[in-house]
Amino acid sequence: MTMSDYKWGMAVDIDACTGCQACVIACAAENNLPINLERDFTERRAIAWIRIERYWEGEYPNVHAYFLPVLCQHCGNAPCEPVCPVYATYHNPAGLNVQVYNRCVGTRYCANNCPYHARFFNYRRPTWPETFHNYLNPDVTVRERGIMEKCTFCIQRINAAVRIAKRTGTDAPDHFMTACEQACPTDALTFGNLNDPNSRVSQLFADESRAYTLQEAIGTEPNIRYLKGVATAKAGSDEMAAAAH
Amino acid sequence: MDLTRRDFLRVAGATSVAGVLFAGCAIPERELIKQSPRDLPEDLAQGLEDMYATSCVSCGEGHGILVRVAEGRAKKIEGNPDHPLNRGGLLPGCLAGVQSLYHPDRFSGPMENGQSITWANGLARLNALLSGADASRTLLITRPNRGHLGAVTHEFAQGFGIRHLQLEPLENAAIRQAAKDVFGQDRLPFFDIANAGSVISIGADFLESWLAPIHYSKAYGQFRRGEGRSRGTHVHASPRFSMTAANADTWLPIAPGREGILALSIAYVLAHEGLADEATVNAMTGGLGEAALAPYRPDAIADQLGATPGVLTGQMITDVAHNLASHGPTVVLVGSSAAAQPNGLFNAKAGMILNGVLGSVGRRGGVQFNSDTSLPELQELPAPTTYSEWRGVRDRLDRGDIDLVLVDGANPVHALANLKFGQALSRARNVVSFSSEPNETTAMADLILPDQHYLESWGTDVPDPGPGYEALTVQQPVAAPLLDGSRRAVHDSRAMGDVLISLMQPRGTSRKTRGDSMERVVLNALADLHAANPGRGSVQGSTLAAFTTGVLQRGGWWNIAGRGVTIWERPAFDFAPALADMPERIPEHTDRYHLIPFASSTVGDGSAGHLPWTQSAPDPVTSMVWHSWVEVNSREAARLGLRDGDLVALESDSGSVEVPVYLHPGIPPNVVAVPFGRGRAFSGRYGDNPDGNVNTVLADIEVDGTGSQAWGATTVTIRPLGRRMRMARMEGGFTGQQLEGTHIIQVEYT
Repeated sequence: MTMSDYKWGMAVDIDACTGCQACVIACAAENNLPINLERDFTERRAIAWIRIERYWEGEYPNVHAYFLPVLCQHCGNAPCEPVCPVYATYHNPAGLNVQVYNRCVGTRYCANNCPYHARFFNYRRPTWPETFHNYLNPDVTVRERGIMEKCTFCIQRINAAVRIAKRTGTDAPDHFMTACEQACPTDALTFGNLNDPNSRVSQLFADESRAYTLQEAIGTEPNIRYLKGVATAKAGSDEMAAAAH
Repeated sequence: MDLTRRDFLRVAGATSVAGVLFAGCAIPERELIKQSPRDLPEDLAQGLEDMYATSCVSCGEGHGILVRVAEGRAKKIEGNPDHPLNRGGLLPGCLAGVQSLYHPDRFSGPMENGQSITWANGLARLNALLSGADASRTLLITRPNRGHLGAVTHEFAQGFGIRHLQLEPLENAAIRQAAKDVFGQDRLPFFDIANAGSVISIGADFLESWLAPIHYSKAYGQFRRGEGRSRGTHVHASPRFSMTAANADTWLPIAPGREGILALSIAYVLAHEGLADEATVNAMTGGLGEAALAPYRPDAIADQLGATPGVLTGQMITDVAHNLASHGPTVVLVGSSAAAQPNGLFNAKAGMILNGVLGSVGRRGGVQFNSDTSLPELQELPAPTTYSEWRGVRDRLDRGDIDLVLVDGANPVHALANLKFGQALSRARNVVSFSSEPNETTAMADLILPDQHYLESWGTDVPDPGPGYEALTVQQPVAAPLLDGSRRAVHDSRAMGDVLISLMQPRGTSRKTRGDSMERVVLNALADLHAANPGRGSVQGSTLAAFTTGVLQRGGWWNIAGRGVTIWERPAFDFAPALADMPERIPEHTDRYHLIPFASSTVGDGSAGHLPWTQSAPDPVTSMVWHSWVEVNSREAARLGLRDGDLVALESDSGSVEVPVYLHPGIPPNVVAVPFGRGRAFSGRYGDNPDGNVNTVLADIEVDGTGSQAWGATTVTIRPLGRRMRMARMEGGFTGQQLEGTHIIQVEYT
């Protein structure tokens, strides 16, 4: 098996996501994300490869909130790629939208062109207290100031899993997970090989009643599909009374 | 020709024609090599790494974690997929365990009056203090410890004749008492959410903070989207629109303190319409049956239950009852602010009674009883100290009746701010802290003997609530101590359990635990477990060595076959006084508000407030980070002339807290909400803004019948301070997807 035998994708179940933020921290821990201090938020320079957007619907007493995990959509037709003057962002054979850190010169054109706001610029040199260096992941590059970064689908885990699969002669390695998927307590995130029709993610992608892509109309062909949320009728409404009987 | 730029480059790079083309354009050939010419860490094959199973101590659930260790350093914490409580799931505070392990503000070693001392001198000083102190004037304050550290601590306190206090910031005394009164259980029951058809949570924010949120979140994923089952339905009733409320299919805004009446009103519908077991209803009502529940008829009382008049109707309550009856089995969860009212015990009991009426007790997908641990030394550990007892302790400190206070893992100065516990503690002659990092209580200590981190030490935990059967989570050291250039320990710490054992041994203190260190205590306990359970449980070693290795590899031992036995006596209850005791509902548009504090899934009760990951993880509902806030209804704020970020003082009889306003479209107009755990005045470089500790304004009110704190019963006024601050939050930091004009959130209606 080679990298081109895989096409990585993720299904995000809005109905299962509780908004708990475990994926956000797990991603930061796995991928050596800089610590977002208070000023990073007030200056709108916080870096979060995955974030939970919260959307309000209505107001008291008929209010609802929805949670939407947003990360790089690894678009098949990525708007961020053609605008990079130095080819620092490109498509790899497994369908990943990849950022080459040592090519990036920090024009930020890609971030401007990303309709999902999933790219982040290192306005500062990321620093940690000396003792925090002990927990940094040795498999992941620490990005310098002036570099663009974003979700890699935990490419270090993909590479390790593909190597193991190659060594053992097995097919698509289904036994590994991205850090966000692994931490999710409600299993709202499902990552896997879209080239394998039997993989869980392929089956979820094929659920035509629920699967959709973010901003489908702009034709970015994401490798992430969202599974619709579910709302039931409000208590006291005719619909709920009908459903209960 | 339909050619994209990428296609063009691909074609061009692969042909000799392209060479000519690009030679003319003077683009170097290497630019066309798509793969990076350098290998980055992501590209390299790494050596094998170790994963160790142990227990997460930070969240207090007692669930299992796996720690990835490379070259002796803990790199990442992951959920243990094998552990019956969390099945691989985690919440933010658990993941941040590596930050507390390597925190730059961890104490470097023992200190006396701010000066470093050796462990020998520190232990000698502690011995001298203990020898010189009157035991009746000495206190030992810890967090609730259910495992062998709890047993050793209890033995130490008994051996020295010292009073042992356990601080549980979000007290569960009302829930425990209700379980005892209704089910006759000393242990919290197992709520089988994963297999339930419907869940009604009344007050209980079980997805973020109530009892065992990781366990419940994992079960909730199954409840919603489990294979081979239909999607469960969830109703949540609470005064605040929380993360749990956001996930519910239906949110019922209810007035604080009236949650139990809602439960009984639902029970009435079930009894009245023959949807409940008649024998159970009769047994619980002393033979009166439906008549006992008649005062709670929905159409008679619904208007009194809503957070504001008119938001709840009798039809809504009837619909909820029908929904629960038609989507069984049902789990009823009552807690959080509902159990923190003066009538919190009534509310908690009413919820458990509703479980009985629904026929959920002892049923798959309902309420199941947990069995006790088979280790005798862990069976009768004392319950956490109640708020009422803490008030008595504060009074003794105030009177100068206490000479020596030992503290480990608890921060009463922050948690009991409304009792002004810090002022009282300053009257103790000596305070000894075993804390490994600075906090408000440690700041008052004259002697600091830093404890080891839970990733460096031995211990056990008996999860409560458990998974429905006996379970023991085992904690083992997984990370090597940090050494500096001179090979001296960067954090020269010792496990508090080891210190206590070393103090007990010379005195020949009577103990049930066996061993001269926490390691030996745990290993001996595993030997007892092996002997008591031959051929049973998740690990069945033919030899003790094989058993011990297996338990340490799997992170604990549990016995699915040993499920708790459900024998329920169905005791009768007198429902009559409930309506008369309904707490006041503050009218809309006055100058007073119900204050509902809450623990978010990130910072929680504040014990993880010194960690940058928990501080920077957005609160799920508001997306706020790093500092405190008050949620005010958007329309009410407009009426008051308050804008987003305006600083206000919330004032009660107990004190005042300064917080910025967050405009919340979902909170009732007569309710305001402030998170627990913020406003840390002394918690290191990543500590919070000292303003915003909601504990300072909580009313000095108890839950009747339990002595726990009625932290949900405070009323406050809002005083604008005429200043604003820029709010740190995720919301607005990114251009919202909804601005793009497409349907970002797609929902199907059922």
